[in-house]
This record gives sequence, structure tokens and C-alpha cells, in this order.
Amino acid sequence: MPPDQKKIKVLIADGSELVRIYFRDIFWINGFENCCDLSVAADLDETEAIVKDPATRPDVIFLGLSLRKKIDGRTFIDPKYSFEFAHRIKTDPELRHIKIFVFSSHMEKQFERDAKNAQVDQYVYKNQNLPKDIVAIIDSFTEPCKPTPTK
Amino acid sequence: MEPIIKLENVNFWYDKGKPIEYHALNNVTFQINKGEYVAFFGSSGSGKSTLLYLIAGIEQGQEGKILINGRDISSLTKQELAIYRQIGVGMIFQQFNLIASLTVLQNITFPMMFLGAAQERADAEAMELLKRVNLEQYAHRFPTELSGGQQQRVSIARALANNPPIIVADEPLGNLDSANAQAILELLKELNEKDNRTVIMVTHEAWSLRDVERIFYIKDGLVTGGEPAKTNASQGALTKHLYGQLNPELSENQLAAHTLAELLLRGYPAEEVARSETFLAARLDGKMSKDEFDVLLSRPWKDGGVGLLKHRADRITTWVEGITEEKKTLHDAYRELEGNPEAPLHDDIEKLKVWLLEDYKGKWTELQDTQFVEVIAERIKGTIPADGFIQILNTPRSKSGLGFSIHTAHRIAEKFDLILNGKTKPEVNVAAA
Repeated sequence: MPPDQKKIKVLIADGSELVRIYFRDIFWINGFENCCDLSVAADLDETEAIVKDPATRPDVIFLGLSLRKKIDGRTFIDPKYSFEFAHRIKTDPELRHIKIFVFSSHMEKQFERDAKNAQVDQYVYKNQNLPKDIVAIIDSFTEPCKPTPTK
Repeated sequence: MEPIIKLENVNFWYDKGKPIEYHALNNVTFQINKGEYVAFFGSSGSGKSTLLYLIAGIEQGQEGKILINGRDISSLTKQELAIYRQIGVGMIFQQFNLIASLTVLQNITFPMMFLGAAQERADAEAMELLKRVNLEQYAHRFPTELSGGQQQRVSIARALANNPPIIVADEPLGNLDSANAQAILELLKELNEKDNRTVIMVTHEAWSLRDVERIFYIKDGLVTGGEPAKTNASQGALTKHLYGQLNPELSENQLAAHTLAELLLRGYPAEEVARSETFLAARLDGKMSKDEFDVLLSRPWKDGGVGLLKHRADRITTWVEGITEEKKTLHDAYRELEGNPEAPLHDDIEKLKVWLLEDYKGKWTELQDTQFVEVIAERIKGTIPADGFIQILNTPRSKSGLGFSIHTAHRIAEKFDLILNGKTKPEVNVAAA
């Protein structure tokens, strides 16, 4: 990565610890940490806080649909909160540049439509995407900062 | 450039703290850059496999740092390590390690299913990988229905299942004949050059190093070298150079005996290789006659011999005579063996098995197949006498025997004795000349 190039900030927001580890491992093992700063969030409130703060605001979010959200002291888990959050980002002129990839095992067509309405960049089915597919997605936004191949 | 793999002062012991403690890796330090193709060259028991298992996260580190892209895998949680093993490193083993009860396709989809891939997506990917190794027509066969070379290609496809950037191969050619070994070397080269994967091979066979960029030497748990491979050196000179690097204390004839034993007894256990080396050294020093040498090679293991099949013993004896009679130089001998490596023991046994069973029409299970291979190996070695052999063949399967009728058991044993006594060669050619 060129020395003056800023690292791409990537946020992994997922309720499952295994998924968070999976993503972190993919970034680490494939050397993407050289050009990306990773942060992780286990619930929607934490995710919103990271996005709100200009110092931590990500360029890319991998967004799960089973994230806990606290409303009036009670905890809810519902995909609609993730879609509402995505929609708020995509309709905010200051935030709309953030790429959002929904990463979910939900295969329902309705969720795909909800994602489209929320203007997310891509709906990524968990069980249809192998590690090489995830690497290709990461490649698509890290191209400018990738190291030149050795051969 | 940051190395993809870096080991710092790594020590590893088996049975640490016990009287049988074994120091397998001794203060090992080296680094490998992304996209390199390197080899660790050393004899059996040198610590090569331990090193690979540590890098692959199969063995847990005990002392020192094992850094992958700057992160010490010794500090990973169990879950992190489990995912690292799946997506970080693809392993290729000498014995292929395919699951016998799963089809070829299922063997490849298995690691993908571990990560939650849908069946149809995993199947499609596995077919792509099978196409890459030219085996798509065998997708629905079982591993035991494939040749050794084909099984090793399946295991390469399996290693690629989760797209790991690092491929480690533990003596990947040890059980393959020359043509299959060349095909596997081509595939490894392709994984490195075309995919830009980092490839690490451990081997004790100098001729398998033809494409590697750097060679490390490993002996008694110590790693040295790491210099760029001399790809332009002639093959015979390369073998001499490599074994010489590994064994600087040996005399010229001792070194030749050591090197020839490794080349001539491919795939044999370390004890057999070591015993052959002693006889070879005596023969090259002129302390043993041609006939004595021949007899010792084919004499049963328990009687102090190597326990080789008569045909193989005769062929090796004649071959060594070419050196002792100075018809060919050691350089030529190495070059000849590297250009056309000996068929490994595994190959001999498989061919022998097929020949012994060619008239057998009864039921045959996977378990019987495995047992029969073991019994053949022991019979060749001479640890099972002729009557014991018949007894095992005739013992019912319910009592852990092979379950042949007494008539069939005798017929197989008689056929086998012809081979052991060198009175015939199976049609399928046990020891390819």
C-alpha cells in the first residue's frame, strides 16, 4: 500500500461471534489488514455509535440481520432494525458513501427486497458464499490499496 | 515486504517432561514471503512434519512465535484456530488422508460444509476444483476406486476447497510413481505461479525440488539454509549437493550409501532404509560381496535382512554393480534415479494386491482391503511366515481375519510364494524395471 494512502475502515456488525471471527480471519489471513482497519460490533446500538462518530466512521459495513437492539430498556432482534439503519445511512448525504453489504443466512425473497429498498449495495447470502467469494467482495473495494503481486 | 509466515525461536517437544521426551524442533527461526515456493529438505524423523503441523495449526505451539501475517497463532482462541485451519492453510499428505466412506465429491465439499456452505454451492465449487485436477469424471467414485496419483489430485482439490493462501505438502510424492509424481509437481507449481499461493513442501527426495525457489535443510530438529535453489544445476549434482549439506560429517561412500538408500527405497519405513544404507555402504566399500548383498536385501527383516521382494533385491543389486564396477558414476546414478524415480513400496503392494486377487470373485469390503494391504506388507517384510499368512487369510471376518475359504487362502499364499522366491513376476509388474 502506498505510504500516503489512507486505510479503508471496515466494520463487521454481526450478532454471531463465529461470523465476526470468520470475517476477521479472512481479512487477516489474506493480508487485507495491510490496507484495512477493522472494527467489530456485536449489536446494533454499538454499530450505530461507531458510524455516528466521525473518528470511527467506516467506509464499508458488513451488516448482519440478527443484531440486538435496545428500545425503551427492552432488547429486540429483528431484521427490520438493520434495514432501517441501512436506509438511514443511505439517505443521509454525509453517510451515503458508506458501502453496505448485508451478510445473512436468511434466504427469504422479502429480505432481499427490503435490502434493495434500503439501498444496500449487495445482499450476500451466507451459505451461498464461500471464502473465495468473500475475498472477491473485499477485493472489489480494496483494489486501490492492494500490494503489487510479487510475481 | 512483510512475511506471510515467520517463526521465531520455536521449540517443540513430544512427551515433554517424561523420560521418553523428544526435542523435535530446536530453536527454529525463519521467514517465508507471500507467494514463495519453498521446501524443507531432510530425512525421516528430522522434524519436517512437526514443523508443517505447527504452521497449519494442527499442533499447538509450545515455545516461540509462529506468526502468520504478523499474528502469533499460538495466541488464537480455539474458535479462531479452527477457522484458521479451514481457510488459512490447505494440507496435502503423503497418505492422501481422504475419507474412504465419502465419495470424491463429498471429500472436497466436506471442508466447505464445515463453514456452513449450502450443499449445491459446495457441489458446484467441488466440481470446478475436480475439473482443475482433471478428475471430474470420478466425482461420484470412492477414493479406494482411484489410483494413488488420482487420490493425491483429489487431496489437492480438497486442500483448495476454502481457498487458503498457504498450501503445505507433507511428502506429497512419497507414494507415487514417476509419472504421477511429475503431474503433482506441475499442479503445485501452478498453485504457486498462477494462483500466487505460498507453497511449502517437505521432502527427502531431491528430485522433487525442481521448481522450488528456496531450500531449507532440516536435521534433528535444526533448520538451516534458506538459500535460493540452484535450478540450473544438473540434477545429479543437485542431489549430491543437498545430501552433502545435510550430512557434512559423512565420507564420500557413506554419503553415497545414504543418498542411494533414500532413492532406492522410496516409501519404505525409516528402519528399512537405514538397514539398506548399512549394506550399501559395506558394498560400496568392497566389504561385502555382490551375492551377500543380494541375499541380505531379500532376507526377512526378523532375520537381519531388509525383507525386499526378490525381484526388487535382484534389480537393486544389479543396479549397484554398475557403480561398483565403475560402469557408471554416482553422478549418473543419481541422475538416472531422479529422472525415473523408483516405484514406491505403496505402489508395489497395490499392484501385488490386484494380482493376487485377480481370480477372486467373492465379496470384498473396504476393511478387508485395508487389512489385506497390511498383511501383504508384513509378509513381504517376513514378519509373518507362510503358515501364519494362510491362517490370517482363512480366519473368518468376524474374528478379524480376511475370511477367504481354505482353498482360496492356499491359492493366494502359493501365488505369493512364487513372488517371494523370485520365481515369477505378476503380470502387472511389481517392481517396474
